[in-house]
Amino acid sequence: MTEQSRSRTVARLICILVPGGLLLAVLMFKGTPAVKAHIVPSPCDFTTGGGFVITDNGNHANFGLVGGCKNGGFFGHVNFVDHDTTGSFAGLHVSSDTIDAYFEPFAGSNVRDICGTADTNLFGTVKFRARTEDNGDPTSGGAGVDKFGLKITGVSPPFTGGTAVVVSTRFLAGGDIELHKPNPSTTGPSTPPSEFTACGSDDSGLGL
Amino acid sequence: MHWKLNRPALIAGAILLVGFLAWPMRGLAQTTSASTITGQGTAVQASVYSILGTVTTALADTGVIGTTNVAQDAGQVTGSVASLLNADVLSSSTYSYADEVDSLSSVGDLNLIVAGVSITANSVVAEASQALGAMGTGSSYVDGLAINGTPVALTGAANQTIWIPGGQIAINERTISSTGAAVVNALHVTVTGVADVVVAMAKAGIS
Repeated sequence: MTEQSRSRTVARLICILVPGGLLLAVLMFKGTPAVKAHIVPSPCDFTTGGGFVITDNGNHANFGLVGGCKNGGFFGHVNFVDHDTTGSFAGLHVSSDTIDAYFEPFAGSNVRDICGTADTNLFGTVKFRARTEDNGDPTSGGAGVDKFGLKITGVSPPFTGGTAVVVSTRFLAGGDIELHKPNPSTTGPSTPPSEFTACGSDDSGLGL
Repeated sequence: MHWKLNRPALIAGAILLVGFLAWPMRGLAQTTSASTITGQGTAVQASVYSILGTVTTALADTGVIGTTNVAQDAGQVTGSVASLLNADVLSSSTYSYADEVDSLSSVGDLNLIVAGVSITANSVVAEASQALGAMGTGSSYVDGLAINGTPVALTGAANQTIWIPGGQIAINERTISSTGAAVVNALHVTVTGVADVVVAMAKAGIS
């Protein structure tokens, strides 16, 4: 093979492989809303909210929360009450003790995960991940705009290591969630926490 | 074509350009700083009157903030005031920036009985905000409100009032002070001589 024909072959390969690679990449990521990051937002901010969602059994599940960065750490609280009368989470109360992380699971999105440790009335102490999405101010009542979801991981016997999505991320039936802009005090820790340590598990099943 | 530089025009243009570039910096330098700041969120504040005096109870109350760049929050999974009120997921927060104060308060599963009148709601949320130099704003979200089991049609307007025996219920009660500070009471129940109950109060002021 002459030098000229070798160059031509390489050029042909590049012409085939580069567009092919791009197509493959597009197919692989088709349908993915954004690249998962699980990073502390930078600059960090915070989220507040209250309201309720409808569970898979058709009952109310109420929540009230605050979470974000403050003075080099995290702050806030998450409270949740499930009004199901049947099923695994019937009557579940979740009351946070500490906020251990505040993540932006999808880079550049208005989705935030508040993670921490909580007491429950059914599963002892758990790690939790409350997912919020602020899509603007509702016009009335609060239904159908913002989103909320909750996942827990047991840390007390006999539930240690067990994980469950209590409510997958869904539209509020009432209430509001606000993602607030950063201010000079909303700084996170210099070393970001581990997602598994702070939240107890990954976000599989929680949805968006 | 031959262009000839006009020296006086060039100098005038340069002065104009420097003045234009300096304009925003002068504007920023002249921005006023806040001297009065107030922020508070309270999930429930109930005053009950009796012959023994007035007993006031606050649930999930942030307390008052009075400086910039601070945040306070309070929350509880359930809360009650004896013989008056039960509620879930009570949550409040208030926070200040150098040029803004925002507050929020929310209550779930409200079950309130005042002077024999039952008031229930699935969710009650109040929000208030004021940016420096602007008038305060506020909003509330009340879902599933019922009086003695009868659903109440909400207008969405500020200060909607419903009369009850001996008193009234104000829904989405909003007050703006002379300095622009905003106070929003999502629900405010008053029965003369019996009780004064605010459910989900948010206050924000900066001037």
